[in-house]
Amino acid sequence: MRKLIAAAVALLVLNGCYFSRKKDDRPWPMDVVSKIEVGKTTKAEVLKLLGPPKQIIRLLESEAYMYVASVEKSSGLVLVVLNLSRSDRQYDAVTVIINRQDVVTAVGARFSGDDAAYGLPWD
Amino acid sequence: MASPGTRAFFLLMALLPLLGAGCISISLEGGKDGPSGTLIGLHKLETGRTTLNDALRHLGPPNLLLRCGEIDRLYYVSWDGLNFKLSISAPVPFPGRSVSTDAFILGLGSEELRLARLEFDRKGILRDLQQGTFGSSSQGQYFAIDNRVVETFLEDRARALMMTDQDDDDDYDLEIKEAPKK
Repeated sequence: MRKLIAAAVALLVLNGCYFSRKKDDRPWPMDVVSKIEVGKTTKAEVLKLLGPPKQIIRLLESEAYMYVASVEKSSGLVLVVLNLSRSDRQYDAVTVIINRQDVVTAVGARFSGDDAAYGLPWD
Repeated sequence: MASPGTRAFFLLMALLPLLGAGCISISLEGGKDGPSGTLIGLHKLETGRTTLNDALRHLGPPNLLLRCGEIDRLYYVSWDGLNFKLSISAPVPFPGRSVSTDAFILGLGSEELRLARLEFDRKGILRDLQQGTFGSSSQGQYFAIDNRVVETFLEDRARALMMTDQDDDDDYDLEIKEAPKK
C-alpha cells in the first residue's frame, strides 16, 4: 500500500518542472557607462561606446538615447492538475540625453538584470 | 492493518490527480517586472530645483519617456502580481468530435503597480512629480485613490508605441519609394 502511495506521489511530483532564461539584447559593462561624462561626452562618443540605441526619443530641447537589455527568468512546476509558475523580468538600462550641440546633458544607468530570480509564485 | 475501506480511500486520493488530469486545472501564477526599489530615490527630488540629470542619477533610466506638448514626461513603473485560477473542464457530447468546455472557473488575483510620473520643462527643471502604488482586482480594474495617473500612463504608453509603429511604417514607405531609383 505504501509503495503504491509513494509511486503515485513520485509520479505526481516528478511530472514536470521547467526553468527558462530569456535575454533580450546584450548588456553593457558598467565601466563603459562610467566613461560617459555630462557636459563633455559627445553623441559620436556615446555611439562608439554603447553602439546604436534601442530607441531614440525626441524631447523638447534634446534627444534621449534609450539602451535596454532585459533578462527574464521563468520557472514552473506542473503537477498534473496543479500548475505553479513564476516569471521575473529585470533590466539593464542606460538613458543618455543629448542636446542640440550633440553633447551629453544627462545620463542614468541601472544594472538590475542579474537580480532576476527563479522562485515560487508568491516570492 | 488498514481496513479495505481505508485502503480504497487512500488509493482513490493518490490516484485522484491522475484521474482528474485534463478535467481539473489549478494554477498559481506569480510575476514581477522591474525593480521594486526604484521609487525609493523619489524623496531626493524637488520640484522647481531638480534637473533631468539629477533625476536620472537618482532613479536611473525611466521605463517610458516622451514629449507631451511643452513638457517632457518620464515614467518609472514596476509591477508584481499573483493570480490563482481553478477550472474544471467537462466533455460536451458532440457527434464525431471531441469538444470540452470550462464548466466552472474561479479566478482570484492581486496586482500591484508602482508608478511615478515626472514632468520637466524646456530648461530641464522638474515641474511636477506624482507617484502612487495602485492595487488591482482580478478583473483588472484599478481602484486607486486617484487613478488618473494610471490612465494617463496607459494613454502615454499607447501613444509611445503608436509613434514607434508609425516610424517603422515611414521607413517602409521610404523604402518603397526609393526602390525604383535603383
